[in-house]
Amino acid sequence: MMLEIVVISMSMVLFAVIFETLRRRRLSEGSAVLWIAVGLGAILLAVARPIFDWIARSAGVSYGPSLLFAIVAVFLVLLCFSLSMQIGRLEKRVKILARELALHEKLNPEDVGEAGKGR
Amino acid sequence: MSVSRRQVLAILPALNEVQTVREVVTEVRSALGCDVLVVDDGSHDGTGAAALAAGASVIRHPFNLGVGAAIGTGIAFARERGYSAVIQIDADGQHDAASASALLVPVLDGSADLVVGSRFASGYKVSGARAFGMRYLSRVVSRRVGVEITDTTSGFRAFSSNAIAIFAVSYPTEYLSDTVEALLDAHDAGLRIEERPVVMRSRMGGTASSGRLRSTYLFLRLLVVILFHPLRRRREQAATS
Repeated sequence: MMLEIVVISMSMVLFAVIFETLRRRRLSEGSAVLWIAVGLGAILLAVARPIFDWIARSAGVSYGPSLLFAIVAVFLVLLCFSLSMQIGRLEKRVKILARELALHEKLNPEDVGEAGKGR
Repeated sequence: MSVSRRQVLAILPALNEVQTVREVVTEVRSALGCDVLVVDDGSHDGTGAAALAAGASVIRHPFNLGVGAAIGTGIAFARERGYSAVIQIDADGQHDAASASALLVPVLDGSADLVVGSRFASGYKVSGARAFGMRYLSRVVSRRVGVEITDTTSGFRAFSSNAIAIFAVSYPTEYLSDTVEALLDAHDAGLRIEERPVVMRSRMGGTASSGRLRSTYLFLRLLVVILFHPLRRRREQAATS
């Protein structure tokens, strides 16, 4: 019973954080969908513990929580991977932007003309 | 119409539409006689050059930012150049340029600020989960904005100078949520929204978007956008904080 209360209240905290960051537009709507799903998943697992234990046993895992750890670990690895892919994409975009900006601000003696002679 | 056509800007957001953009630009120019701006949203197929050859002004995003961002760029351009009305038309040839004048009428005579062209009013049908989703969206959005909007995701729209002033500051950019969120933003900003029937054709080129899993995700995200909209900070405030 204690476990259920802890998991549910932690999920509630998660929901509150999602709500507030979404309200301040710090979190994108897409990420909100993912994190709401995570919170709901946690609640579902806590409430339907017997079902989860049954799934664990039929998957050949004798101790339910260790299957949970495995699932969570896989989820976190996938999340990290997707985040590093996104960082890669952002880096590429920053380079493109910096290059385009540099091309706009290029300084050539012939572009400067009379106005630039005082420099 | 009392307002000169030169004050109208047609904005065509385009991503890899090289097969159709030239024809659409020519068609819009002859049907409306207005200036045409193609916002090339990071195409790799020479869409921008084709549009330029057809007589449109072209702004190019350095990489793909999404339709919403392209429209935002176009509206900021319209604001900068002092256009008094904007008509947004797809570059893939789905929208009938002749219907565009019908959308512009309420904007030019000052009776509406944002006019949405609806394909359902002219007998367009979709089926299955998509139809259910669109009907649900229509119900929720209509209730929010106080006007019956049957085609919430339509990208065939006319904007008044009031709407241009509001959206030049900030236009929603989330892919596929932008059209719906723009309606909610417009209502919050006190703009008058109207819907008019338009004719839509089958696409002249390009491919339709999204598989089932992705559609579900996009729909859920759209729900988040709609449900949280009244509670959230205005986008322009959030950007500066």
